[in-house]
Amino acid sequence: MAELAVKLPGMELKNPLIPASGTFGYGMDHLDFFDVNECGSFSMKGTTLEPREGNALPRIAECAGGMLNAVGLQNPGAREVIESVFPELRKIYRGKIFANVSGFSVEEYAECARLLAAEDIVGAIELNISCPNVHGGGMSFGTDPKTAAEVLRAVKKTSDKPVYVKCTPQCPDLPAMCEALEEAGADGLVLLNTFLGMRLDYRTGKPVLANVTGGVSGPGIFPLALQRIYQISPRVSIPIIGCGGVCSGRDVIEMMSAGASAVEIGTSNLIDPMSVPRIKNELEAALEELGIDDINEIIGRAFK
Amino acid sequence: MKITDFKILKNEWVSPDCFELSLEPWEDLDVRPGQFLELSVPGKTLRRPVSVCGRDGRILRLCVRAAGEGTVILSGLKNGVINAIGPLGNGFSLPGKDPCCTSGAAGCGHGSGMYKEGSAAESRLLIVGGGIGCAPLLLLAEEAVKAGLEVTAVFGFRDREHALFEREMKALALRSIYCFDSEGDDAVSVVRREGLTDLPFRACGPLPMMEGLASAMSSDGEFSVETRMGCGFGACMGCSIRTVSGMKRVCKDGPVFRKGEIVWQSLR
Repeated sequence: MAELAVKLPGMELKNPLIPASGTFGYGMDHLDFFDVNECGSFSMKGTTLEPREGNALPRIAECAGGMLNAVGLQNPGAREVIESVFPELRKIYRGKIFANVSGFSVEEYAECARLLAAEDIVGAIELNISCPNVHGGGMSFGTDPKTAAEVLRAVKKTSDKPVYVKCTPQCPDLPAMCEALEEAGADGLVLLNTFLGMRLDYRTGKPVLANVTGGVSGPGIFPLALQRIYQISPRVSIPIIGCGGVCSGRDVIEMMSAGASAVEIGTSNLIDPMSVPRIKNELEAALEELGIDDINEIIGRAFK
Repeated sequence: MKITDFKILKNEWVSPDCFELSLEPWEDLDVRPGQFLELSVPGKTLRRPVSVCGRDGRILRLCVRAAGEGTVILSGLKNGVINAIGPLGNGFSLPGKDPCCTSGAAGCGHGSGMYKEGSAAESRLLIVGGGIGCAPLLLLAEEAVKAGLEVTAVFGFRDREHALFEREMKALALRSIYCFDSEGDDAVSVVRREGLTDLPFRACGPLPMMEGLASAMSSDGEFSVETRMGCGFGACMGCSIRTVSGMKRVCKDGPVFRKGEIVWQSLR
């Protein structure tokens, strides 16, 4: 059996599979299906300093090869997560998680990150400057490298825990953004969040989603995410966590070959709640087929 | 809750726009009235939530309205195997009988021990359905009769052609009233006219019917609501509605909610 453990700044993962934020709640909802300790880690639901109800309904739409969501960061707020959610999570989860932090101002991002980073269960901050579904926040920080660097620096100051920045494909110059984030002290990059999209109801001609637009995810975006990772990985020296449409063990191998050190699994968790254990089995079988003993050998293989 | 394959035993049209699937699970499932399955649909990314309308031994019956691309694909599956997750959601309670409510179990959506319907009325139950919303209520009606309750059911449909479950309801020891929009009548008007507004009730149907019923009833009761879902088991928050006790996931905290819990505005 091939070695699946990977090392990331501040995080040692027993395998490279990380359920993506927004598809795994706070780790409790998949317990009915499998032991979440099988995951390398997971990224918790995007959390803001104050509680948020999220967007109006409908929040979900479908498209060929994927889905759209406009949940809009529904979450109970950082304090409630710390007081009520983490104590429950500690009972069932022994690992460290990525705390996905969102906000509407630099100060809010920093305070939310400070509170969450102080928790032992948090291994790293995943700085979400890429949510396409909230206005006046989220993605607007992820499209301008100067603003993004400012948020990152403010968050970095609040703790010693590593900070991974989750980037948006809506950024007009994503490679330049990633270089700017490395320069500003990012410990890693998560490439990438959902693609902005929409659907209209063919009967009425009006948007299906109450938010009008939503984030497109699912297997259809896999080649798009892979291309960004392939393009950016030679340009940065910090690790990249690949994210976008991963549904199988072979997808994981492709993404890691393009330069990702680990991968996030998103929409697949919603369609097949057993995705993580299934993909882990597929990954082991594929590595054996390739005669690879250690998964670290395939990271950036496209360039070797 | 399980992820399991079902053998499709039967799939036939029962009205101009509704079809009924008979599914035999690989593993036995214990389904309560009001719970649902997330069916995988060939060629579609997301599963489709469908409530269970009947049980024959281990075989589950599901009545589905062909309303969009996914359900139209489902209507064409005449044999073979279909994968589903379930049973999902909390389901309805039966007045004075339901263990999940009397124990105040967390997450049942029916509320805690505070939930008490008048004991004099506990032997009676009003069931109100509209259109395809009658599907989960058929199974509930069966269970309620079995539990010894005196059941009155009011089912409303667009017209006689679209009526569902007439044969099944006739076979049950209950009073059932069918009404039709085409004849200028509707379920809420029947409930008022027949003086049933003080009975404990369970309801499922179009939003205007449920809102109308909520204001017509002086008694407490439960509504099963429907929203678009991402996962069906609580992970994505795609289906959340506002309630008096905060945001609740229809798939996991619901789909059944007490009358006083629902903030109807968030469903419109």
